[in-house]
Amino acid sequence: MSESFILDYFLLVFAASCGLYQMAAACNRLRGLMLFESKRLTFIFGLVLWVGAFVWFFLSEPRNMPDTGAGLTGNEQFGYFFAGGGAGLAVTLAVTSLRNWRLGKGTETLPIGLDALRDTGYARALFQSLTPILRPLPGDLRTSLAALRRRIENTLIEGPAPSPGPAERPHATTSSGEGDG
Amino acid sequence: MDTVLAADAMIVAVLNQGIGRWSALDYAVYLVVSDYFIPLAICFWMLGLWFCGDGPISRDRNQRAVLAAAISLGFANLAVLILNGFFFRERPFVSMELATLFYEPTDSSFPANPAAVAFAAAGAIWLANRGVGAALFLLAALWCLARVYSGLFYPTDILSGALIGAVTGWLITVGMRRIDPVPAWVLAGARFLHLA
Repeated sequence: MSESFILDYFLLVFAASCGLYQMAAACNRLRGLMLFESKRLTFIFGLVLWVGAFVWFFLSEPRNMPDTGAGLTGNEQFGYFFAGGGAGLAVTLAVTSLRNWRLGKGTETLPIGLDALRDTGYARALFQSLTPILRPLPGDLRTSLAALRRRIENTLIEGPAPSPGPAERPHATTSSGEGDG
Repeated sequence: MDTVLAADAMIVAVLNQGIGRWSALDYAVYLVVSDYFIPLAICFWMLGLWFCGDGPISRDRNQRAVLAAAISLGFANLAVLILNGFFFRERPFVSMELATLFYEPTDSSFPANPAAVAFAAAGAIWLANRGVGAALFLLAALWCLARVYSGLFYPTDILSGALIGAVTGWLITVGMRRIDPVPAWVLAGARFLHLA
């Protein structure tokens, strides 16, 4: 093997991240992110995917190569990890949105953040979040921008949060966001 | 100083004698010493931590730690790169007769880059989540031990790299607390997209 194994690395990260998302979904009861209804089956599927990706990568070729040859530099590893993990997330979200299309149908209010994926698929949750922002904006540009800003703030915070004490401040956004959502 | 350098060389020489004795151990070290295995394990652990938490507050803490760890990795790498401009130390396999399970790098041995990046990530995570942080420290230590065993670094290279990494992880975590609204905005944006 003399060519760079960038593609192999990307595929490893892609497959392993898909497996990791399934394990995380099973452990945190994020039904909207699960490929199977059974938590146990989802976890096992994720684990097999994760371990399988590693086994394939390390057993298929010798991987201890210098970055002047077939190996990857640190920056390349960072970049392709980001790309592979992102692609894995995008595919997982797309596939599980289709798989769980009916999950959460008719639900009017969803929690903000990952917790929404306990009750619905990703596409439906995202649509619910974006709907208030994507409504037609009124008046001239300045009024429109001000309205858009208000809408984004309202969607993120959902009403004025009580002013937190200094000790609570780091978690203020979470508390208000998760609770009020 | 000479005593330290002599002890350094002696530790590498003693550890390196294990290579070639047990093929199973050699294969395990070949895997652990790799540029990919432990770094990927650490990165995947961080990625998994992003989704975990008993409630919103502990998940928020974990996600802030993951952000800090990711930034710390970059800064630790940069710190080693800068130091490499000032110091050059030959690798142990150059100055001693050693067996190795790895390719022969040509860059400076001091300070050890793998130790810096792995301990930076572990340190930043440990400040928020002791359990996962301890596991990452264990992985980092295993990676570093495999590198010394393979004759790629001296123990003092590892110790200095680990110190640089741990301090970087701590500084970035403290720095992120100081600029608090910024990480909160990042997480709020991700939460809005149901990604955090």
